[in-house]
Amino acid sequence: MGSQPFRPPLRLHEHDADTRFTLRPALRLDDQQLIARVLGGDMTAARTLYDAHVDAVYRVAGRIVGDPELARDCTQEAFIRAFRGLRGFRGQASLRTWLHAIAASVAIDEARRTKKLRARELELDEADAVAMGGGEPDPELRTRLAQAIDALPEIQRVVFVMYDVEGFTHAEIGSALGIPEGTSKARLSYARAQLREALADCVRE
Amino acid sequence: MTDDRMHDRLNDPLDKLLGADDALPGALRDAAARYNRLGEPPREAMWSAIAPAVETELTRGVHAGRGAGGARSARGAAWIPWGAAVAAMAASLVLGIGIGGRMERGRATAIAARATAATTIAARSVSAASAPTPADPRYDIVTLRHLGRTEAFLLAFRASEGAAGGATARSAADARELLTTTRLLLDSPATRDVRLHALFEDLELVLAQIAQLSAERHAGERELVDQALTDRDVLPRLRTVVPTDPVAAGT
Repeated sequence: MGSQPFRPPLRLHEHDADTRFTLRPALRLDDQQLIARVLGGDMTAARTLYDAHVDAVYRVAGRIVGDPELARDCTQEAFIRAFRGLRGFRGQASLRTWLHAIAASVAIDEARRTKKLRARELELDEADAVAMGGGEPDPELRTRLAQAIDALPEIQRVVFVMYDVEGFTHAEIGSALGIPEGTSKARLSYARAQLREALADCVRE
Repeated sequence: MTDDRMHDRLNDPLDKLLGADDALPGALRDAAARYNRLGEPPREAMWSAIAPAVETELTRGVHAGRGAGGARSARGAAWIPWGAAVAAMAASLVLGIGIGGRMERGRATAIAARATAATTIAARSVSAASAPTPADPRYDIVTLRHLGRTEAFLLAFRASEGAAGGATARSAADARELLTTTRLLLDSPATRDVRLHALFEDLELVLAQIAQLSAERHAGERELVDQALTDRDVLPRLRTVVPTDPVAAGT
């Protein structure tokens, strides 16, 4: 199957905390070619698709579930679902957004199921801070922020994480979570308001 | 926003910290970037775990696509389904995990029911290509093999009571592997039988408990596992499903 050698696509997306993700239509042709190969039963193409997106899918899942093993389970399940549903993918969103949507859904489901959020241990954070040097954020701020994010209602936490931590746009979040763009903005606003309240004393000191 | 309000905001320390408008400011952005940041993903291990299931999916998809399009070539009809199916089964055997099962095309309903509204997008995509097909007895072997492995694992786990933390970590790792396959089979028509489905759900619970065992709180958590095993009659029910013949069970 696939008599011609498959040319791996360019790495589609690099994550940078400073950069808002944008769709790059010029690269979407590669996605289409890749999907066509995968649907033709080409396991090499399937692996290429996996390699191109696994880091980001794992990261998104990890941000939501907060545990390496759960993130691994979620990533595996997300890819299984993705390959299972790939024939139904119509390209309304980018492949990346679609994959992240599945990953977010699986991870949200897992987080709700296990209700297991990673324990915050101040000692470990402090040890990290010492190990990482003075250029790192204030360890107390990190811990307080993490606790405050964990305390957010799930629907707000996910939007905050996707927008402010992972760099999704509201359009992408809306597409991923099946909510209007305005709802995503509203949830982010509520999340920030609660974080603002939770971190107030941190700032006034 | 007026200039005055903008000026007020810029001078509000909370706004400086949280970013009243669009992007987060530096201090908080750096802190937020570390929220639930995990290490490197175990790429190869994850791919190894899902590859057989992916191959099964793609094989089935190729077959269905050709059938639906009416453009099946004689050569394709002759080798694609069998060649890829055999390859998928071989991969399953080599990796020692019973992934695949009778993953026929009617799985979308099961996925949607289990995953609730959060998985709407994925389930909607799957349902587009779905139509039930007859069960394939070959995949019963996959299910039985998985149940056989799970039974063996649970028996070994029970026998390891009082073991050290290292054994706990190994048990948790093994449980996670079995849990992945259990969940995949739960989502597949391999567990369409009501009693089998209930057994898989109980196995999912128990394996999830074992997967989360920690050396520090081992005793208390282990009691919960033992209690779940007993209350739900997991091992006796497994024995009624798994044949005593180890060859038939694939163990």
